Amino acid sequence: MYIILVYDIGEERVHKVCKYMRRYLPRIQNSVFEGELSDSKLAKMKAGLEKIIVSGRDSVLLWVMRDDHFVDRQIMGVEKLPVDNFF
Amino acid sequence: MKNYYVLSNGRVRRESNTLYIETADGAKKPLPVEDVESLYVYGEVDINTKLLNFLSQKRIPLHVFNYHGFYSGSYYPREYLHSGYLLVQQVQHYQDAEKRLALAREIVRGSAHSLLRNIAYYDRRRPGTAAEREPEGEIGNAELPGDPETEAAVDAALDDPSVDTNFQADDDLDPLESSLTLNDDAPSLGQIRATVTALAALIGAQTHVNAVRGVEGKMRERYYQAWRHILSSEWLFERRVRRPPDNEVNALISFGNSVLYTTCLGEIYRTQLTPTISYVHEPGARRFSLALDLSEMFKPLIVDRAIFRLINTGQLDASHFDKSMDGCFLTDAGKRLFLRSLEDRLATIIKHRRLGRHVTYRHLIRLECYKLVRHLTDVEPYRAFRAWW
Repeated sequence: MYIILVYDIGEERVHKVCKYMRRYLPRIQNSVFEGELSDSKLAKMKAGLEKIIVSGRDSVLLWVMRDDHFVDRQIMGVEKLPVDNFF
Repeated sequence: MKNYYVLSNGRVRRESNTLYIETADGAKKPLPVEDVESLYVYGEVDINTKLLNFLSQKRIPLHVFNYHGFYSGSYYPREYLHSGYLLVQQVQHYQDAEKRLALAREIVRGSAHSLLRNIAYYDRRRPGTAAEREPEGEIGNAELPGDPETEAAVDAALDDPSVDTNFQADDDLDPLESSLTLNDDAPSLGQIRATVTALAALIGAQTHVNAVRGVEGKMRERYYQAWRHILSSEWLFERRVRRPPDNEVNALISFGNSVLYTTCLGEIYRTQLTPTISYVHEPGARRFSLALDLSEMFKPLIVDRAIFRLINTGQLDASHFDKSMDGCFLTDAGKRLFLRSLEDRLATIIKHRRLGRHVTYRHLIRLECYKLVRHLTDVEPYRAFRAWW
């Protein structure tokens, strides 16, 4: 699954969510994560997120696509945090 | 799940339940631990047991390479898929000469097929410059459809049971050798193909694992002769030299093979197989030799094709190699370029005929492990990987 996840989280918890998400996906901007996850990993990630966020106040949006072929990723301005597996 | 490569110097640490890479220049980058298939460390990197514990917990193998890019070893986390039954079966198939021979033959047939595929592929694209032999966008699924006639001939040669079965061990290879050796110094691709096919046809007749290995060595020697037709002419490649490699092409082969070896090891780790018990290679005391068996079949498809492409499209040049020391080694930029291209190939997707779904080249290696398991547990006889596209 190819995933784009954005969130708007209360200030007290925002860092927690960011830290948690870093285990699963590369961060491409503040509050935006994007990348590939298997079905099971996605379910696991969502279950974990659910425990951190306060459902009445926080908001997390997910776009889940079967494959990155469906995505035409365009960038304007700078690519803030380029994703790479070479360090 | 991807491989992650650390080429810079610094530290890899566990932090906030994920991995962080701190490079010497002070940059600190998070790495999504759930996405890491295995870690490749080429740089000079500090780690501690906290990290090793974390890697074990997440079942991530860590492969270490020395300054010149040679494989040094792996941190192989504690096995998590145990099967005493399979281990017993694996050992029995090694100890029973008949059973071992059958497996060894089939594995070598698989690797013969891969060699022939490469030769046949470039034989078809013979005219034109080296660069023209590399079609645009070849990585990513647009490989030329196979020539059905060649395929059929190759398969027939490999599977022909009618071949002289009196043929015996190594000594007997010599008369054969002379009949197959070409007087011509530079045999054409067609001639090489014929020679390798003839050699491949002998696999079934070998009654000794050593002899099977001998045939495989001879095939590979012939196969390397084909490289001068495949690579642009300014790249000298006479023969395979290792430890240390003496020229650019040998350096690439050595480097690429070590990456493939660790990839195979990583895939074996994800199955119940024990990586130290092998069939073509002798189970060595210091090596995960089953990974060597497996990688033979995939070298031409993954490593060699990546090399041809990088060289023929001019992406790699002399500046990517360091010959100042004894031998020839890839520079840091060269390593990056080559690793990226290998990674691209491993991620190439093809439609699997039997499974009816799309799989990556990397996954083909895992499937090969599963096929071995099915053979060892008597579910289905093993038929080695033969590229069908």
